[in-house]
Amino acid sequence: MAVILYEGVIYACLLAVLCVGLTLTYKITKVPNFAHTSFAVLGMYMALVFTKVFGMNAYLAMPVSFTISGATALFLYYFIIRIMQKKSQSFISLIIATLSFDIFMIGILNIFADYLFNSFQITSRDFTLRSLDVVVSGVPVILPASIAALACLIFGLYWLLYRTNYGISMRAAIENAVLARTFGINTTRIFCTSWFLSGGLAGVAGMLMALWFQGDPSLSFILLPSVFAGSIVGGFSSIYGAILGGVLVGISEVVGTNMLANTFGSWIIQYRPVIPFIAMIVTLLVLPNGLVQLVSHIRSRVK
Amino acid sequence: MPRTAYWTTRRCVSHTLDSSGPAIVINSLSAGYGKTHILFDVDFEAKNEITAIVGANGSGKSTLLKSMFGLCDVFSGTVRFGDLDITGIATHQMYKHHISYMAQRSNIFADLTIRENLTVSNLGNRDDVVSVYDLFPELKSKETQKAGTLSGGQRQLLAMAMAIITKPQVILFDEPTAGLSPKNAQHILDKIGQIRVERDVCVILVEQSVKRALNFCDTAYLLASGSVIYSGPPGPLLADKDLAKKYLGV
Repeated sequence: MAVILYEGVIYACLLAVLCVGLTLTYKITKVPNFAHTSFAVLGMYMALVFTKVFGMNAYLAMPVSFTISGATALFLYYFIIRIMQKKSQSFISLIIATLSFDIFMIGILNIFADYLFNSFQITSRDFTLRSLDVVVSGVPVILPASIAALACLIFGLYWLLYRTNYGISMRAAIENAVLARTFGINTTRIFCTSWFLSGGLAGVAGMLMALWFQGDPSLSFILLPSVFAGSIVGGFSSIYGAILGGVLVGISEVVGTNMLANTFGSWIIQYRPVIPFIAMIVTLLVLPNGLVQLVSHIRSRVK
Repeated sequence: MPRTAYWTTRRCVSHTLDSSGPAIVINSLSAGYGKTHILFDVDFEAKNEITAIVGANGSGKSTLLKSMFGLCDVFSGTVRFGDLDITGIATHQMYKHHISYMAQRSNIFADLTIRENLTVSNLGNRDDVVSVYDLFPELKSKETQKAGTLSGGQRQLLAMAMAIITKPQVILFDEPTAGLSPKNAQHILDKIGQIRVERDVCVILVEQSVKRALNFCDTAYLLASGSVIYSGPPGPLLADKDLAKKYLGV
């Protein structure tokens, strides 16, 4: 039971971090980034390299994962999305571009996995670093680390967006980029920062995921529905909605699957990805604007 | 709250500007959007006074204003501010040259508070925000309120406050009274007049209501199909019944 609880909390917290990144880039550039989870897988491989190749503590991979995944996301935005948007490419073209980049990333990660296996003889597919995590009083450090990552994200984003001038200008650019430019705000710089931040957060989430879940180059396709589901449940336009959506979908996936497995048998576990799909469809049918819509509805009724 | 490094890099550029001469000079300007030409061979000058640009819908009034702020594509010709050629300068660089612009629509950030709107428009300097409340006391009591909750007239006042907060030398107003009641529209124009006199700035105004604009400005430009038909004092334009009827519908 404790393992399921740990898994639920870890997965929910890290999924929420991923959902925030996806929502942030969507809010800013109006592009649903289908390559977002590949930045997380990149972070996973950074953890693998740090532990198995360099023999270091996995947590030391955090700044490197943040930087490399952030830089990859920045590359995608600056050299592909930004140029396509300048040429007024359609929304569908932009989606296809991110999807293509995801496939490209999977290819690169496969090559990297083969390189790690051939050069260092380490398991680089379906690997887990769970056994390398530190356990304190029977609790793996990844549990408080995941909670801390989400908590830091919540407070960090609040501080950035509401307490700094740069954050206020970010919110202004998110709302109306053309108007923001008329007030001297360099919106390209802000968009680049947001993509870097988004990719970096995904890298950190992935790096932490490697300490509990199995990592594989193709994991991004498996994570993608859950991340989209969390963001859509949150409303896809609200950062804090994404956190709530990510936590809800993450817990539902883990706890829901285990409850169903207890009732119907373990064969049902392989159908776990159905849960985020159901969450997505129900949200789009009942609450198209997600939990944000529900919260504003409750607020207006209270007033 | 101290300024962050991001904002401190945003400094203004000083110019030699002769207050008696024209602040903005446009020569043989052709401009538009993408492959669409809107303005053809336009010559324009504006001094430290109120210059109104009038014309029928689609005549290129707003495009002419936008061409002074890097918001449209310039195909040929030049836009000069004092001794500096500002043709092709990126919009987000214009604040450095003491030029500000109040857009026709969506001219405030509705999700930000009034104070945040003023902070954003004031190059991130929160301290100087207070000074603008002297001119717009009606905004002071609402500073923590989201801008989206303001009435139409209050929104325009906020937009105007945002346009003047950096103490620009040229202010471009794109239909500042659009959609307002006559009383509110007059209040906005009074404020523009007050700013123009108190700060000795060059005001260039695009206004839908021709009579209101011509009665308010010092110099008028009449545009038709992207070309200047008349430039000079507004009196003769109002007096010329044929011209006014043909191009302005008055």
